[in-house]
Amino acid sequence: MDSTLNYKRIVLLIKRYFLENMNYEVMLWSLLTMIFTFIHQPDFFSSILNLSGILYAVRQYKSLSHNANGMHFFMIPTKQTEKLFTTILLTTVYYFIMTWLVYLLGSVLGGLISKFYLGTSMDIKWDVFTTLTHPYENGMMLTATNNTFWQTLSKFTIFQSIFLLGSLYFKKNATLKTILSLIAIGIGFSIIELFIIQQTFGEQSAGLQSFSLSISSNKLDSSYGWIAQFLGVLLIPYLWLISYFRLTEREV
Amino acid sequence: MITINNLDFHYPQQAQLLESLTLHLQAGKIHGLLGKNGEGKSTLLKLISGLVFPTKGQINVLGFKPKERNPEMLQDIYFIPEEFPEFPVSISNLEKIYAPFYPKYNGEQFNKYLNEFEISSKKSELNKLSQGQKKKVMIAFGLATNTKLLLMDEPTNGLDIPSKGQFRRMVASVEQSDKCIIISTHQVRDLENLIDSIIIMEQHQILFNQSTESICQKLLFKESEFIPEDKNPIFAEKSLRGVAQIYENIDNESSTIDIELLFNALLAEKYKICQLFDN
Repeated sequence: MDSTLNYKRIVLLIKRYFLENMNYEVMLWSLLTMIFTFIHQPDFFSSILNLSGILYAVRQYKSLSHNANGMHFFMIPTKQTEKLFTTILLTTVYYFIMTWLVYLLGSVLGGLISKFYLGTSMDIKWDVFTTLTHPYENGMMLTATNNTFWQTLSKFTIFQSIFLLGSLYFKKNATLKTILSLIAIGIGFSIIELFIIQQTFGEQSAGLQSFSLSISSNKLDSSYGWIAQFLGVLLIPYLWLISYFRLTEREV
Repeated sequence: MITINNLDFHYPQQAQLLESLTLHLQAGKIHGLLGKNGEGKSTLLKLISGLVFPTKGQINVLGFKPKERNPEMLQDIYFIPEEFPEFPVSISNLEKIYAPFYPKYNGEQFNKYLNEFEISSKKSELNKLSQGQKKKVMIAFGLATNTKLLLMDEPTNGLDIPSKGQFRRMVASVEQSDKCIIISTHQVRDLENLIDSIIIMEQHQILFNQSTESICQKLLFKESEFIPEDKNPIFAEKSLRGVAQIYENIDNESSTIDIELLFNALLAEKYKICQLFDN
């Protein structure tokens, strides 16, 4: 794998993207600004970021399903690493920042509309990455904060890398096929998890005595949640690497 | 410039398309690539440009393996495909986007070729142009990139009659000393007086690869009302003006190559003709 990047070519690829997708970009960000003008809740920001981001990621390699477009794409004199790097830059960094900016813009516009037309106070929540959650434990409601900036970004990037790979892997209906694959993988992992839990906890017997081992899911989350997060972050470069190989091996 | 040795290729879950194909092409020539439908002409162009990968054998293009899709190789190859991609941009934006990828690109040449094709406004959106006009823009751009290797798949399909002549003049005017142009087509009349060599594909292989000079030396093309009794042509077929014939050029006479006749002759009498060139 040749990982050296020529920044001049990357700039040219970015320029190519924006010149060829100018109308799409204008429409997308106008639409999102409009949505955020009316609904500007941090939870909603996260959902919109992930959902629209998926569609944005899948769109990047959609052209490869069309033979002539695919031929044209691969004939552009750049390395595959540069093409992939540009796509990652656009789908992750650019998309994240732009969604954040249009959220803030939408919030300000929404706040102004509320103030001038409805006479209500301009209530804007700038801290979009911190949300309040209310988990229950032992019958008591606890208030906790989650969704920090890094958590939001890593979750978003994981989604992006999965769907980017999906768009390279599946020739048609990449979004649907990637979702179906994720469901299949999820079911597979759930079965393995259930099997492990069943073998480890629950009713056990040793000779004439039987005993029960149990674990609280909240405790499991708080004790080992970081492992899941760490593995999730590790998944990102892993998926990018597979995407790279998929891109280099793709024929049109 | 292009070296292909013992190349095998087939598309996934499909029959063998190319088998033990060997081909060597030099710079400074315009090659006409001919063959029946499904013989693998377009696939051969794709293999040369690294869009598909051989199942066996080696390809070397400009000192690179096309499979690696090296940018140094790609900036010296321009492929004008039969089917065009979607370009949601104007002609001037097309130039703005893609010209910087080709170090030897010449904007003046592009403008000149566009003028010759009578495309006056560079503000026109490419996707709104007719198929023929799109082809003209791509041919003009391809020629202006000044790449060492120019691959054209059915370039004259969709071009109107005056444009076909303009296309021939443009390609012929290209400074060719270090360039190799491969034109794959069924429109053999469009290649007359343009190409320097003829490559014919048949049954997954290169059946014939000879320069036009060598063809003229070895073969004599004639057309008459009937075949003279004392003559024994290698191949003859009915034509609009009588009978078109190919003879061995024993007396070193000069004649114009009838590509269509040569193609049909090769399919019917390949051993006889190939033997003449082997000697």
